[in-house]
Amino acid sequence: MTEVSLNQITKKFGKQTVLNDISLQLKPDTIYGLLGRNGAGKSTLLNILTNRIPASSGSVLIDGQTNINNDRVLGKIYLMSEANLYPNRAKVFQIFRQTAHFYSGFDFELAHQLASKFGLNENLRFSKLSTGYRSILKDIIALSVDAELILLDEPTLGLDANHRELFYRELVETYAQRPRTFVISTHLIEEIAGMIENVLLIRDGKLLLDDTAENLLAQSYSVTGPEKEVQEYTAGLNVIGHDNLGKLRSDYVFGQLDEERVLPDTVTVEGIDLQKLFINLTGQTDKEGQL
Amino acid sequence: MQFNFDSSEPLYLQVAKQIENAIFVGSFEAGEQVPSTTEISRDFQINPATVLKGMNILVSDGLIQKKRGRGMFVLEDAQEKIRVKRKDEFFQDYILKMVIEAKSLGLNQDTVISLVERGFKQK
Amino acid sequence: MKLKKAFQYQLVSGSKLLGWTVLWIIAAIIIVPIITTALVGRVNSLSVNDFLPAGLLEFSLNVFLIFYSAVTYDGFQNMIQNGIGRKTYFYSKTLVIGLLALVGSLVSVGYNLLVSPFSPVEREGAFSLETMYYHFFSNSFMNHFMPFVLLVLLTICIAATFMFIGSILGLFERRTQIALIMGVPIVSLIAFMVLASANEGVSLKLTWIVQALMWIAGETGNATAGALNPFQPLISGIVYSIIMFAGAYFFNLKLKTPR
Repeated sequence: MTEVSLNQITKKFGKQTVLNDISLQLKPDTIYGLLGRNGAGKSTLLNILTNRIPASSGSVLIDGQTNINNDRVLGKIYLMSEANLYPNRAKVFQIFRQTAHFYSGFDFELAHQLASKFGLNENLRFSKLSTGYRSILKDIIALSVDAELILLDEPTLGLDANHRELFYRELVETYAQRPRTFVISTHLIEEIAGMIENVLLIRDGKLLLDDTAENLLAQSYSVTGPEKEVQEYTAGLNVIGHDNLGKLRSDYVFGQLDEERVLPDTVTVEGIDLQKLFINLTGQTDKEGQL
Repeated sequence: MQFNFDSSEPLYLQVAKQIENAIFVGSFEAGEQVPSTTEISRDFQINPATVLKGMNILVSDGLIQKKRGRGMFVLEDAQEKIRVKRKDEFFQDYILKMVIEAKSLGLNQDTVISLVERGFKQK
Repeated sequence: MKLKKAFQYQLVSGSKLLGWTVLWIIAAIIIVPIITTALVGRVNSLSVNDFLPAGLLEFSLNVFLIFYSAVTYDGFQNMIQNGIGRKTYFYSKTLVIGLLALVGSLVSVGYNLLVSPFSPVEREGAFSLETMYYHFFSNSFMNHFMPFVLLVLLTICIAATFMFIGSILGLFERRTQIALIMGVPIVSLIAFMVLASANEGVSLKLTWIVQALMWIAGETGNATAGALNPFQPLISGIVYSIIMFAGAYFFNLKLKTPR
């Protein structure tokens, strides 16, 4: 079991602060969803976690050790990202081999199986692969490698619907057989909604939420009905967004409802899904939402 | 089976309900094995812990039983238990709701009863 | 540290690249000229030396080392993707450069000895160093051994220089790299020419530089041919390569993947 902790990580690119004082701990053997809009700092966070780039301040400790130029620690992590860091001239099977050289316990059998399921030709050079197949290659390695912390930054970039589903099927299956920590960063939340146990939500470089999906959904509501009644009912509650359809209004509330208030017959309260919660929490046009 | 992630109902409850329904309609017969946690997780891309939580509801309801090393099996009286449970819930889930809706529509008791009779004839 | 694994990987990929370099150079300076000669119908004029030119391997080794040492970023990105940090990357690569410089020089000296009977010009390549330090020791073994050590050191100095340059270049994007590679030599050449034309005293400075170079080469005031002091270049070379490697190490630690 690997303990991962980020302590007050801040990252600046010039004057721009991309990550602002992020502290968090990753629980072992858990599937995390790292959510946030484009440019929120998700990729930067994963790059710092794997020491691809330095943090401006703060530290990453894995099993109590710094990750900076620390092979033992870095060898426990595999980051699949859009960046193409493999040698262009290397063939797919050679990339499998070199991965096995550095990460002992690489599951060749699984890698071959997945390659054939995805239709990835192992004799092709990396430079000859399309964007989608580059993602697939790195996804296959991520599932086959024996690291305890697997970071997936937009793992389905360039994949068609069938391949996207196939990938997540395989991910869940390997996870069920060999539990380890996954951090999945994607803007297609619906695809991973059922899988993620814990949500990390980043907005404007800050960690806004770090909680289980179950807890979050248990305190997320939509309140729908005639505009006036809805607004009366939700007044003073943490309304994070709303939709209007004529005089019909849905207010989205994050946090506890007021048990004392009487719910009018015309107003209904329902739960909302992760996607809806995410959109309303990160929506830039809505500044009503406060946490 | 299908799981609706848009639903406001927690996913583990949906898992339990779907399997329960499959047992009730006879998709999984008494003594038969239900799909493993891994299979359900994989096929519907649901976290194994969530699936397990749903399965455990069925175990504590006495519908399925774990056989060590072999998986989960449907108990003999599972279908009957579901029937009894659903009968109990029928009043709460259907009748009460129907009465509330009837009242808001201004339908009186006799009208509703005659509508129910008509429904029975049609089916 | 996973130094052993990184070293094995670097050694295999470095050796492959060295092999390809040798093959390409053979193709460029032997096979193509021979074919051209044959095509114009003068096959008879070819000698053994045309097939086995002295200094071939030495030249190939240096071309390879310059290229291999200078390409810093590509190696780094592959290592970091595989969970290998910058320090291990630097050490493994430096070790491979040292090892290949040593083994490569040994092989190329052997090759030169082998082909020297066919060479029209005597004492070429590695032997030119030998002519300089031929008579310093009274011991014949040392008189042969020291020039070899200096040859290896010279090779390492060249590699270290390019490793240093490559590490700096590795910090920039590809476009900036190209601009630097093209720009810096041109700018320094112009600066040098401007300085030379503007300042008459530059010749004085040049004599100072020449004197320093002479000392590094082993100048002792002894006019006998081949009696230069090999310890002067030895020490200078070691100090120089340590500085270059240290600089390369410093810049290696700053490597990062692009945003």
